[in-house]
Amino acid sequence: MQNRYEKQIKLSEIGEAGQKKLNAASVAVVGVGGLGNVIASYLAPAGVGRIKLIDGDSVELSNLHRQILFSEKDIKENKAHAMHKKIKELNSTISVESFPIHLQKNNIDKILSNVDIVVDGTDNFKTRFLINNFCKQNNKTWVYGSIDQWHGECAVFRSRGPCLNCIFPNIEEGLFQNCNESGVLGPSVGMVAMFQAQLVLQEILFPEGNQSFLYLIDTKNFEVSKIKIKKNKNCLNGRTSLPEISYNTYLNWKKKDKNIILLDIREREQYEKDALEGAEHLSYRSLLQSPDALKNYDKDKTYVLYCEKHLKTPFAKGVLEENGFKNVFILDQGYDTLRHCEECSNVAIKAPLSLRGVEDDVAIL
Amino acid sequence: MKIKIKYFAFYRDYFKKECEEIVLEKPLNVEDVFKMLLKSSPLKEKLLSSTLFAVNQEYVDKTHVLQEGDELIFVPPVSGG
Ligand SMILES: [Zn+2]
Repeated sequence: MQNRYEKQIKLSEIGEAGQKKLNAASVAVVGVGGLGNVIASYLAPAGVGRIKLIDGDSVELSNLHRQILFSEKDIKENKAHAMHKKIKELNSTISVESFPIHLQKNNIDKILSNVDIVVDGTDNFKTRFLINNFCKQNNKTWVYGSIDQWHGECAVFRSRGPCLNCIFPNIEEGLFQNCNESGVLGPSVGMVAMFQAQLVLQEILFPEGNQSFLYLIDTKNFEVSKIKIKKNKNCLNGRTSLPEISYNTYLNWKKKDKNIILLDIREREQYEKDALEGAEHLSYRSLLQSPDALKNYDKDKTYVLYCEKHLKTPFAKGVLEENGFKNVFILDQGYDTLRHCEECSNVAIKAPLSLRGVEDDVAIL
Repeated sequence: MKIKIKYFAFYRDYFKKECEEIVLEKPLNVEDVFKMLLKSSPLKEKLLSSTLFAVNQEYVDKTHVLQEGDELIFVPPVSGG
């Protein structure tokens, strides 16, 4: 019987072993517009085993010149759903999941936490930085790509290497736009997207790469510049730009670094009643009264703060930083939200360690 | 001392050329050259802080001092997709 992958398996660098890696890989395509169309339409036939498609927009007539898998009858259909059908036709043996929503802070954990590689098919830097920071915090690789008029860029950002924030730390959306939305030719978009698709496949096949490059693609003059990029020492792994982390991110960090300290800064009575599992207590009130409250804390450790409603934590973070603490983060949701969040089944709430003894006594009685 | 400057994306439209050679009277760093070329732009500080600079295909800090024959590229972020 013919093997649909035989031509790629024939490559000595790939072989059966490489094909197995592709089949076992899970990739999320965020944004299924011009870039995402072409990316998905190469990943699926190559046999990438699990593909997630995320896009909240619907297909429009003016998309068709570059979003080449969509046809006239797809107009008005959600892009993620439409693409889901298309790539299942391209390869029925892979598993595809589609999300007809925009990637946001409140859904990113759920959608991206179990994928190996995230690939950027978005058209804005807000979402790109959301992906960048999520990937940094969760040790994932992502493949950046973008195009305006004739000029495209792409890069692989690995967890240990430079990130988007290292090379473009102060992006303001719109600063570089000349006027309105810029135009683009379909093949220009395709060229950048094919670079991205190739980078994704190579990252799955040969993940040991450690040199990072930004590729500049001049699609009009057919020139590619390969710029060697490196970590910016002022970018603490994407953490400085996003001091807020989700509860899930905290759990992931905690698994790798036992020294991370979760600090409950509510009033003592509230903390004693119930709190997040493992949290220590340092009241905001005592922190404002005197920095002496900090004298028993190690400045080199990493701290994650939370309060009731996420209102006091930014100020508390400021106080810690003024006193020389360098790694201070805050949970992006307050305790009141976390405790009542129905989807957050993993939020562990227990009486704090210091009080467990009391609880046990009660149980014995 | 002669250096070559290549403009990418936004900067190609801004300067209306793809590249040029300029002569420096004395050694200057990337920031000096950038500000010299964008002297009339009210946004030059903002543009400076959001632009990536590469010399001879390698990312450099804006304090990097240029040498004879260097090729400097101005790379803005590109946002479409
Ligand atoms: Zn970084």
